[in-house]
Amino acid sequence: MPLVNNKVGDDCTASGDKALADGRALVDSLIKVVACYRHLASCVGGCTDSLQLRDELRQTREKAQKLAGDICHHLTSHLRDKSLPEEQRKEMELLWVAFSSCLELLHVDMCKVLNMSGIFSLADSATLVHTGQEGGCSEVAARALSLPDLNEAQAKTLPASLESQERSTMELEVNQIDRMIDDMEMKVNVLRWMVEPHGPQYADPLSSTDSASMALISVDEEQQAPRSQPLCPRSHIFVLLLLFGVFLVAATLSVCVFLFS
Amino acid sequence: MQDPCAGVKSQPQRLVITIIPHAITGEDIIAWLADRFQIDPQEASSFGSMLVALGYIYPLQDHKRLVIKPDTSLYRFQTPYFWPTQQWPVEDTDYAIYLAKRNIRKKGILELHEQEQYNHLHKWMNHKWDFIVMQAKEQYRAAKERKKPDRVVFDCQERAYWVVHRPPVRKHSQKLPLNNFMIFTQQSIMRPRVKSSVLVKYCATYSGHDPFLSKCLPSNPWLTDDTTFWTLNMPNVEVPTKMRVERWTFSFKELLSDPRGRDDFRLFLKKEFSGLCRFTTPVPHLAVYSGIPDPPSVTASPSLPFLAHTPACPSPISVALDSTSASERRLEASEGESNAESRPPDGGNLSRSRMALSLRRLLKRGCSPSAMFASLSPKCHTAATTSSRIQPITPEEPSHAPPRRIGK
Repeated sequence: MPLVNNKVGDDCTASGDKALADGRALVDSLIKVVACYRHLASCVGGCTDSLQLRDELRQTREKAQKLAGDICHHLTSHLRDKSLPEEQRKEMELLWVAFSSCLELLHVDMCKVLNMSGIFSLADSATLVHTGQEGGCSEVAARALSLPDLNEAQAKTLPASLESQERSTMELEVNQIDRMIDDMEMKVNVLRWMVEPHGPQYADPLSSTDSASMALISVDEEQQAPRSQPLCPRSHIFVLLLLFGVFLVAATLSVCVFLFS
Repeated sequence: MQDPCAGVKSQPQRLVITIIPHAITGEDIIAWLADRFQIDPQEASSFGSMLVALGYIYPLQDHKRLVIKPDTSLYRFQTPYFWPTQQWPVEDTDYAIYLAKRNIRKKGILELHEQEQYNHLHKWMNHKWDFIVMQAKEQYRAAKERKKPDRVVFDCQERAYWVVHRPPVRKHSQKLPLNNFMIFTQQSIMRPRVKSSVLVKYCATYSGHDPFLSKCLPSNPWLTDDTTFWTLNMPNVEVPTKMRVERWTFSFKELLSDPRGRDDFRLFLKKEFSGLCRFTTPVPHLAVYSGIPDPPSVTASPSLPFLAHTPACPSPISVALDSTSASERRLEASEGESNAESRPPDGGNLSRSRMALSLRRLLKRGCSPSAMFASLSPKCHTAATTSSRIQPITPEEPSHAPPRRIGK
C-alpha cells in the first residue's frame, strides 16, 4: 500500500497562506502609517508647526521604518524561496509592488520634511506660514501609532536644542530607506508590469463619507455657477412664510369678526 | 507679507458656520505689492498673478483661475509642503491617489478632465492600482481624524496644488494672454531638469558675460545706477571693450549681431580682400551668398551692391588666395596638410584646397564656418548690371590684385 503523504502538502499551503496573510497585514499597516505621515508632513512650515508636530513626525517615521524592515525581510525571504507555489508567488509579488510604492512615498515625504525643517526653524515662529489651520495632528499621529491618543506630555520632552540632532538623525534615516530601496531591487527581481491587481478601478465609497466638509468645499465651487433660475430656494421659503403670515392674519381677523358680529 | 502690522491684512473666511482664518483679499495683496516694491498697480497685479500661478498663494473662490483679482476675492498662503521652490518632482502616483480620494469624497462624480486622467492613469499604472486605492482610502480616513476646518483647508491646499500642476484643459479657450504666459512660465519652471551638453556649454560660455551672474565692470548699472557700463558698450563706440571683443569670438552670429562687430569685420574684409566685397547692411548674414533673386528696388541706396543669383554664378564665390602672400599660403598648407600624403594633383582639386585653406584662415581669426559664408571672390563684379558677367573662379586665373598682409 503506497504511502500518501498529503499532510506535508497541506502544511506547506497553510504556512504559505499564513505568510501571505502576515505580509498583507504588515503592508496594510505600512500604508496606513505612510498616509498619516503625509498629513503630518503637510503641516511642517505652517502655523501649526511645533515641537509636538516634529515629535509626532519622528515617532511615525520610526514606526514606518520598523514596519518597512519587517516587510522587507518577510517578502524577500519568501520571494527568494523557489519552492513557493505560483499562486502565492503572484500574491507576494503584488505585495512587493505595493510595498515598494509605499516606501517610495515615504522616502519622498521624509526628504521633504528634512528639507523644510531646515528652512523653517521653530526658533523663529514669525517665518511660519499662515496656512489657515489651527488644530494639531495628534489624532492623526495616534492613528498611525495605533494608540487611543497621544500623551501631550511626551511632546514637551523634546527640547529645542536637539533640533539639529534631530535633523542629522533624519538624514541617516533617509539614507537608510534609500539603501533599503536599492537592496530590494538587487535581491529580488519582480517584474512590476507583469503584476495584475485584484481591486476595482474605482474605490468603493466608504461607509461614512464626509459629506459635511465636502459641502463646505463645494460652497465656493458653486458660488461661481451662473444663476439662471429666477428665484433661489431661499426666496421660495421667504414667499411661503409671507403667505402663511398673511393667511394667519386673515384667519385671525375673520375669527374676530365672527365672534364680535 | 504676514507681518501683523506691515503685512497684508488677513481676515477670517466664513463657510456656513465654519470660520477659517488667514484669508487675504486680492486688492490688499496688490496694494501691498505696489507699496512694497514701489511699482504701479498693474505690475503689482501681474506679480501677484505670478505668485498664484506658481502656487504660493491660492484662490478660495473660483479655484480654477490662477489670477489675482483686484477686488475682495479671497486668497490664502499655500503650505510649504506644496510649494514649487524645491522643485520636487510631481508624480503621477500622487495625482492618481488624489483623484481616487476625490472620487471617494464625491461619490464617483469627477469632472470630465479628472475622469479622463483617472482612466489614463489606471491604464498605465495598473500594476500598482491596488496600492493607489488603498493609500487613497487611508489618507481619506486619516483626514477624518482632523478637525473639520483643518480638513477643509488641507483639501483646498491639495486641490490648489493639482490645479497648478495638472490644470484642467478648457474646451472653449477664453484664456487671456496673461493666462498663456502664466501656464508657459509654470511649465518652464516645473519642467524636469535635463542635462544637455549644449546647454551646459552655452551656460559655461556665457556665464562670464552675464552682468547678473558674474562681475560687471565698472559696475552693474541696475545695482549702482552708474551708467558707465552702458556708455562703454554703446552700439557704435570707438573702442570696444575687451569683454565685447571676446564675445565676438564665440560665434559668427555674435560678431555680426553687434554693430561694432560688423564694422570691424567689414574693415577686416576690406583689408583682406582688397575691399571689393561689401555687404548689404540689412541682411549681413546673407549678404555674400547670392540668394537674392531680385535686384533691389530703385529706392535702395546705390552704394549697397548685391550679388545676384545667376546660372553663371550659382554658388558662393570662392576666396581668392591672390590677396594672400605666397609664404602664408605655404604655411597654411603645411599646417593643414600634416596628415595628407599628397598634394592635389591638378586644378580640379586645387579650388577645393584653396577654399579649405581660406576657410581655415578665417576660422583662425575667430570666425565660425557658416553655410552662407564659404568664400569671397574679388573677381566678381559688384554692380547689379554686371551680374551676368560674374564668372566662377578657375584655378588658372591669377588675381591682379596686389597681395596684402593679413592684419593679424
